[in-house]
Amino acid sequence: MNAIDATKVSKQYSSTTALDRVDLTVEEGETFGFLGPNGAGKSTFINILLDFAKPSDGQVEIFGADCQRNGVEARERVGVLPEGYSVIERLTGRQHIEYAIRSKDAHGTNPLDILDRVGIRDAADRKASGYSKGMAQRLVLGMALVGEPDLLLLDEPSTGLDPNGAAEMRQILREENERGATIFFSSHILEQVEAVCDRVGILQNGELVAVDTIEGLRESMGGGTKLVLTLDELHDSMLTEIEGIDGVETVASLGDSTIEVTCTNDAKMDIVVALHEAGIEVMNFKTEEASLEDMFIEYTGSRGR
Amino acid sequence: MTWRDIAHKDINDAGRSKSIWLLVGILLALSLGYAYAHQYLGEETFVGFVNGLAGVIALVLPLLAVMLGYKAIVHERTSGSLLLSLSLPHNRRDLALGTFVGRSVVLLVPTLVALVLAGGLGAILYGTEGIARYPWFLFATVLFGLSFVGIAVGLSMSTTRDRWITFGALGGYLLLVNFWGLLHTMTLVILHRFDTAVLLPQNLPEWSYLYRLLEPGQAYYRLLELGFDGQRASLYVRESAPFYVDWWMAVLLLVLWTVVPMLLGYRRFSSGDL
Repeated sequence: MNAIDATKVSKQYSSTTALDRVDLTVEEGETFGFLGPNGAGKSTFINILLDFAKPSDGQVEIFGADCQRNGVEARERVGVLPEGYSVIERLTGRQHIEYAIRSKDAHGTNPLDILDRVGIRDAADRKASGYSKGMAQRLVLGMALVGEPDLLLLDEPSTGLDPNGAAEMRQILREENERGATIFFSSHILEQVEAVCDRVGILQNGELVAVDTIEGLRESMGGGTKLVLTLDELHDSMLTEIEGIDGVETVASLGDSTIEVTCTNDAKMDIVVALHEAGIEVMNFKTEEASLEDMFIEYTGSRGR
Repeated sequence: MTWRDIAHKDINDAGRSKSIWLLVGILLALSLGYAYAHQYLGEETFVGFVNGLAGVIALVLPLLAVMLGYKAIVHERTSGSLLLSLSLPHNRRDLALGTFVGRSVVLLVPTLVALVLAGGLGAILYGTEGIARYPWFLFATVLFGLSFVGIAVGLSMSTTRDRWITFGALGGYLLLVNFWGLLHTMTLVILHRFDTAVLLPQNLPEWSYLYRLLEPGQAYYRLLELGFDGQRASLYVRESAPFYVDWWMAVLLLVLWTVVPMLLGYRRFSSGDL
């Protein structure tokens, strides 16, 4: 059985389309990164999974339970870190965890263990409304971990966390995945996704434009090679000239006389030869593997930060 | 049955609010204050005291219930703490029911405590004749309080527009507590082409008894009439009154005032996006 099964999910707001016939399957046990720039529709999709929003068309299932008609059953096996929440005004951190324990019938779980795991045990008996954004994020992650859920559904989990906190969060996600939980999380920050995900889906303007493993994405970019070339001199006209060479995808000047070229793997030498023929001397030459960030820009046309 | 978890959370949350102490203070001050002051205001019997106290409750309890409930859901919804509850395995129906139960407990426990204390003081000052029916008064007060909690929580589910909620709460209170009698009178006079003779008790058409009884406060008094034959609801026991304005109708109406606003609010709450 699949952890998440979405079939032609669309969401229409009066005049805008937030989601356009999204088909997505997340298998049990995998860590899936849901990537896209802000406003691409990631939260809308997650909100439909949680029945915070109703789809205009299509349907979604979590472990075979329809998220709209059978939402409670679907959520019984899920730990959630939603977006745009606020903590419950007058409850302490510990009471928040207790609320989750009670709601998930996870009696026997010690709230302090959970708070310890997410690193805010010291603040257990303070009102959560006084927490910083990062602490609140840790608290709600803690609520999500209660009851060893089979699926963790996290909307921008690293929001408000410092780099250290984000690394701890990733560590927890890895541990949960090793325990057997499926992880589905959205992010607009690539390094998060690159570091932990088995597969990635890229959402842009409500459309799922790519679903693949990170290597798969690299391959689909034609090997995804990046050339960094230092030339003896650089004129603007050369950039257009290089762009015209077969196999070249993008050309960018890095200042001085260094340029960065992304291209298919087998075009590398052609470029160097073509430059030579054009009388441009190459002083230095190195290749890099394209990062996910390059792919992300390629797919979404935006620098996702 | 997960509404219990929600109610538990709601009581924990609302119960820690400072305004709860204000609520407790108001209820205690008014009930005990009235119990003491009754000797200067009315007939010095226990039954007379209960009738007087009911008059105070009929004004104050709706106000407290509305204040406690009219933002219950909408506030959680706009602030986002609702998302935490609904991320857990709760559906919106349990959330609505749990919130209603939670707010009812937060309102009615202090109310009952205040009324029991006031009843004790009343018994000391005015004698114990009729005290056996005091639980009936408490029961009627609970039903009456629930109806306004239902109205308020139902309202808080109906929309996210603050302005409508505020107008609705204020308007609802004024209409149901202050102006229903006037509305009743005006309806009758207009229907009878401004012949005010219709207002004489012997001329009242039968349906208008029920119309009058629709006001939750009247239903409350009608219930009390059963145990404390005071003067507040004598209208419904006169001979010309139709049989269906009996005490059971008062119970039915109070239950409807609780349930119908909750259902209407829930219908809008359950179908919309958060």
